[in-house]
Amino acid sequence: MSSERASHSKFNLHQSLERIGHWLPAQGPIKDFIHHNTLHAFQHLKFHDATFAAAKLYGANLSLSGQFYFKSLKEGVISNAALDRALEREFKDATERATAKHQIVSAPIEIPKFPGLHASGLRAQWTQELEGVSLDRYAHPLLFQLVGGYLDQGLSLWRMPGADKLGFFDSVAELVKNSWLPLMPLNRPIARKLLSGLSATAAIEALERIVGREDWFEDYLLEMLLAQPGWAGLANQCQQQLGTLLSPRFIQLLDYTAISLVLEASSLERKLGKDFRPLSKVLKSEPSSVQPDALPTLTSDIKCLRVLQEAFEWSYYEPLLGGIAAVASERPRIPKSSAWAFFCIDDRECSLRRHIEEVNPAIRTYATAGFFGLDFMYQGAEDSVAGKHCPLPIKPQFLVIEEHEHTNNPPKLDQFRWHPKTMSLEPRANTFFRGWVLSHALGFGAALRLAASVFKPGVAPVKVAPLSTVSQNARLRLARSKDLKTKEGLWIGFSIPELAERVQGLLQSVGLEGNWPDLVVFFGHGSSSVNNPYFAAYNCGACSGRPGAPNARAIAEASNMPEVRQALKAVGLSIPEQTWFLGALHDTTTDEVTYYDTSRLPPRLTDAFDEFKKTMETALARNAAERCRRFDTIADGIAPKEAIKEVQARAQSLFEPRPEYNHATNAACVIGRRSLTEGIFLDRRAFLSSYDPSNDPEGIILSQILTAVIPVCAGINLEYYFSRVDPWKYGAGTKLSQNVTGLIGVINGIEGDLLTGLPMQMTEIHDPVRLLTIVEQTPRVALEAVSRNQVNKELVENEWVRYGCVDPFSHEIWLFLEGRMTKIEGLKVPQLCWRDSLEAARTGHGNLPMGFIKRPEGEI
Amino acid sequence: MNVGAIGLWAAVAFPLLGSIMLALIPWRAERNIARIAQGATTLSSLSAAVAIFFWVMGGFQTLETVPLTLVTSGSYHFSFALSLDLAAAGFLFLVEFTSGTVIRFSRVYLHRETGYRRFFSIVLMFEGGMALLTLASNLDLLFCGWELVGLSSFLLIAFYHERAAPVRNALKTFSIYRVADLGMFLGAFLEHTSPGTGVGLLLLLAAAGKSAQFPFSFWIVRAMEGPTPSSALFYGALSVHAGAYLLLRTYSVWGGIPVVHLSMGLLGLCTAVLCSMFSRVQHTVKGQIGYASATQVGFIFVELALGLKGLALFHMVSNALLRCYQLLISPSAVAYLLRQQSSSNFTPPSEQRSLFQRLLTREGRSSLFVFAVSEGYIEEGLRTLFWLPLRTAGSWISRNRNMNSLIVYVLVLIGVRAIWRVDGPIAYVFSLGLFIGAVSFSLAAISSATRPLASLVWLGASCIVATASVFVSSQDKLELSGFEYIAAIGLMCGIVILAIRLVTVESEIPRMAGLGLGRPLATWVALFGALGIAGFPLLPTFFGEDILMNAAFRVNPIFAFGLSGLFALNGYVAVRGFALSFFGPQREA
Repeated sequence: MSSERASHSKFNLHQSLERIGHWLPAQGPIKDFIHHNTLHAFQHLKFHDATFAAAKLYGANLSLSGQFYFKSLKEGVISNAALDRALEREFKDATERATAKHQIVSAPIEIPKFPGLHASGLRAQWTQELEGVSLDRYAHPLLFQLVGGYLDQGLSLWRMPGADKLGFFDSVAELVKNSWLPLMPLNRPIARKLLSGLSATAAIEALERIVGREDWFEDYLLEMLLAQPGWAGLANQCQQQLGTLLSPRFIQLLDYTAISLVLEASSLERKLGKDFRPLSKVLKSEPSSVQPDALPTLTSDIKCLRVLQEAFEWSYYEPLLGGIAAVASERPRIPKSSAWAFFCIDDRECSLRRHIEEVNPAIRTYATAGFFGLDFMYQGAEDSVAGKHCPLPIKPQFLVIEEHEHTNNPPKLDQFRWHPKTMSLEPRANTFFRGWVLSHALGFGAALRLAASVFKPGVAPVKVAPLSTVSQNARLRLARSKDLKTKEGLWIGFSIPELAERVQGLLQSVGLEGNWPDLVVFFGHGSSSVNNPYFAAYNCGACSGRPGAPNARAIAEASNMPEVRQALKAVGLSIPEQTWFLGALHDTTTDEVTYYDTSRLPPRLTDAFDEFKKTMETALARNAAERCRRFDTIADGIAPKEAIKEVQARAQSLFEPRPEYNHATNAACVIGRRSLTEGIFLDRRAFLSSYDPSNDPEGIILSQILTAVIPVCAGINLEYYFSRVDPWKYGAGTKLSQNVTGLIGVINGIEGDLLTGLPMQMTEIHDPVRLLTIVEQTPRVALEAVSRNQVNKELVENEWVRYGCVDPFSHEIWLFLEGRMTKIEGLKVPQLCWRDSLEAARTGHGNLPMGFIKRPEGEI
Repeated sequence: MNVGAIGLWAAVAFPLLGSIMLALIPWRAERNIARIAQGATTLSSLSAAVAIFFWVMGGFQTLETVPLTLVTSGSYHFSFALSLDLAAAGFLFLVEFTSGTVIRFSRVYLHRETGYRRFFSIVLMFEGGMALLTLASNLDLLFCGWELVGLSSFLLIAFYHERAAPVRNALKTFSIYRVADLGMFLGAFLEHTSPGTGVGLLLLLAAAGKSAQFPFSFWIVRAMEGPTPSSALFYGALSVHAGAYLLLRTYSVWGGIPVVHLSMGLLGLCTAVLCSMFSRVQHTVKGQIGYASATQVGFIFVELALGLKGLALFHMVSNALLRCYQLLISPSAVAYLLRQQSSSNFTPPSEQRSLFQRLLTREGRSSLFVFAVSEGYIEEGLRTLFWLPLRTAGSWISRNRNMNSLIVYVLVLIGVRAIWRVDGPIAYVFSLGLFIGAVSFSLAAISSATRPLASLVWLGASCIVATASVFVSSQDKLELSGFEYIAAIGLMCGIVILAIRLVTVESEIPRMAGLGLGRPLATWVALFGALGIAGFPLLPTFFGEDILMNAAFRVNPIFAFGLSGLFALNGYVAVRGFALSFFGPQREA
């Protein structure tokens, strides 16, 4: 009966939820932590308008505090010139500009505080009805307990009955129906009635009971879900990305919403009695209708804050652009190289490349998105499931499996499970009888382990091999001889033409310079931290939050295949026979490198490889020293030898919430030849991607690069931006009190909402600056290249990403401003100059002003 | 005094000194703060080691310090004395080891946290409290350690006091701790006068509250709101075992009384069964470990009830170490369990269902799951039975008209009694009448949480009227002590009022107003006042309460019980009022 009524009504639940789902966080389970723009739903608006509208909707901070900007201004971090430039762009009228400037320089500006829709809208009226207690407090604890229990991937020992077969709504309904005991408040008659139907019917009937007016339904739903964005968002993500959970769960936003509504209705009935009045009767005045992305009115304070943010950014951009302009006009030198090293575009690799080149200028480095053009699902020899190893938007068609060479000697994982070292992590250590035995048996051992790890870090007691690792004594099934498909429809391995095409694409896109050396090494990157639920966020973003080792190993293997080289020769890319490719993994936390398949290295290259390894060792230690300058607990000017020990101890320390600072401080992305950035000390703040404009007149290759690079880098940049601006609303608060739930996320306490975004320990040193993307191309081609991809076009046009180019011929700098490419003139060239990177790294903890690295003449 | 005894004193004193230093000296550099914290805990550990060494050399003879009497009033006296026996040595090792390790752990873990100094100050206060609790040779002194432990728990659960959930859970925990305090306070009190079954049961109540036993288990999982190391130290290791240790230490008091043994065994078994069930449905790591810890403490209670003291001590120490470690490595759970699940020879969990579950029907399984998820309806039950009636009565009383009647009623009673000085049964009637008045004031204070000033006035009135109720029927010469108590309570209320006045002129303050944000001084002052009203050990009101209790006890033991209940309630109301106005997210004006 009621479903009939629902279908007659104007209100369409499914469409409403689809719209609302848009405003919820788009973060999946923590094992697949992939950086994305926190405000993805607002991308259709201009950046500043979006932050404003979002602050109002979510009750979040609009920007960093007025004190922060004021201090930056006083300390000269925001330059006067930048302030004037930003003022000029915001205020066209001179008197207004003067007033604004006076306001800015005389005192910190108060950032506006918004309560957020969930605390100020229609639904918040219940608080008054419930004598000052918010409805959340009655409905949330059980809701979170139920959804957490339902989605649990392996923590609780008793799963919710039916969780692996039924949807969320049906599971709860069955639970209530089958139980002899009441699940309060779902034992109320209203709940029993609602739960007996379908979820959509239950949702609409509950809305009728709670709200009572159809035109308010959608607003109410939005407010309700914004009060619990974490779990609601996860439910939505699970619906969008089926198969994202290892133990499948059938949850939809609709189911989740329905249970939430049923709980609210029953809580209200319980508190206010059977005949509680719906909101339509409670409310005296008509509430204003909600438009989530509506723009609040601009005040002069807001305008000043925009000016300050623009000036803050320009204070970083200007010297960078000045530096690039200065370097671009110099003639690139292409020394004869002894080896090439390929890295990910990741900002953490930017310094390692610089150190390698400083240690041994004969090694040439390139950077490309860390999946190395190979889009596949990967299943390691010890994994039972495959994981995605390419950027988020790509849907892989291939599966690469790793197999042990000696199948009669499989790894013994049973030991792994019962080892006293890891027994403490087993949920089964917490049961009745087993717990009794273990609490006697394990206690003193645990004490020793704890004492050892606290007083002498370096022996991590709970080091866990990460997912998707590569084993030294196993081989990849990379090329397929027969056309086999898995039941999910993935090809098992690539065909030779497919491999050749990918190798060619990769090598062409980076724009190889000079003659082929004997040794080419591909470095994937990953991270090895302990006691860190955010491990996935530390891995390679271009590999969907997994270590890039399989990709590096696979691309090396593919490039070594004689068949592939044959095919490449046919298209005009001939790789000399003596050139050999190696795959490797750079651990960005410990600054260690693992090389793969070295046993197959031709003997004639042994010396060259040893030489290469030696260079790498020195470079890694120096890189560690540069990284150490960011940690306040480490004294300035640490020697590389000590630094490498320090970072390795950090990675192994149970008590270290900052094993590394990841992408913090990232601010720029440069796509061009290495010569464009080689002499500049970029301070690990830039993503670098190799690209040679000279063989890409129409920007076709550039478009391909941008399609992979901008979404990944902008995702990282914007997630850091917003998590820093509001660590509690956009970020995940502090790591220190977090509690792991169901292996899918973290919460505070035991009944909190799921936390999304990044914790403060990852973002605290980050300066929120939008990504400045500079490509080496003419302005026309650069603009065309970025406009070919709809997402990138939107990001650039709406200023979520700052975009510009350096003309390879005239060396002029152009920026995309107010809808078109504008030539930037009068850029000052930074004057700072260090002898080498280590000298630069010895100067304090904060961001360094832009400067050059000049090696004394004659060393090159 | 011999060296061993000095070691005992030093083991208690160093952490407390460190705590006070950190609280008073406004250092900013983390290095200095960590150095003090580590220094204090290291010195304390060394002192403990010295004491244990002398104890061992002395052939395991109980090592005792010379008692130091602090207050004597009539038959009441309060003295400092520490002693070290096997149980104390074992537990002292645990206290020093876990505190030392956790402080070392937190030195880096809390880097850059606002509240770095506060954290270490509180942890040291906790360590000192635990050491005192461990070594105290009389129950009065043990109670002091007990209270320090309770206070530090409260402060660390609410460490992130700018969010509402930690504050609420801190108060929840504190309310249970108050029940435990009541048991402890009365137990200590009764031990002087009439030891026996009653003392045993009261100590059991105290232990059950502190150790999260049935029916109080629910707080332990909700207390996991502070930084992980503090949760590990408090709810994994030490404070959850403090109750069990109390029973072990006071074995000579209750050992051999069948009723106590029986109730302890049943309580422990009941907890073990229930908490292990609750633990099984927890989907968070900390929740699971919390209930698992309580389960094992249940077993320890059973072991104690069976007289297996050695086993209980071993189990206590070992369980504490394991749970502490488990909580500290709890963030590793995601990586470890996911790795395990996605490894090629892993059996999915649905096939490993326990025999217990396989034997049940679908209905049975659902019911069991519902029971476990609802945590046995215990919290709900306690709330409905005890707290809600108080609140309802409170809100009825605090209506203007009723309030006026109450004031008139009390004044009339006092006035009549002032003129008509009778003794004997009629005086008892006056006592009872006034006592009811005191309780009513206290209830009125509960429901005035949003008007802290009014609430404080009613609290003060409650204490004064309670004192008067003792006066009218007591034979003791208490004039002076009684007045001292009243003066002290007045002073404490005044301090809190002053602190509130310093930060706001509003009389109506919403719940969780966050008045304390950015105003540490006013917050600490207000907390001090609230603790004064709560009769926190060694504050003047503490002795006042003890003296009044003594007098009331001689009138009638039941009267004394009622009075101590009132004191416990008033203390809770004061701290709750403090937390609800000074903690919480700041609201817009």
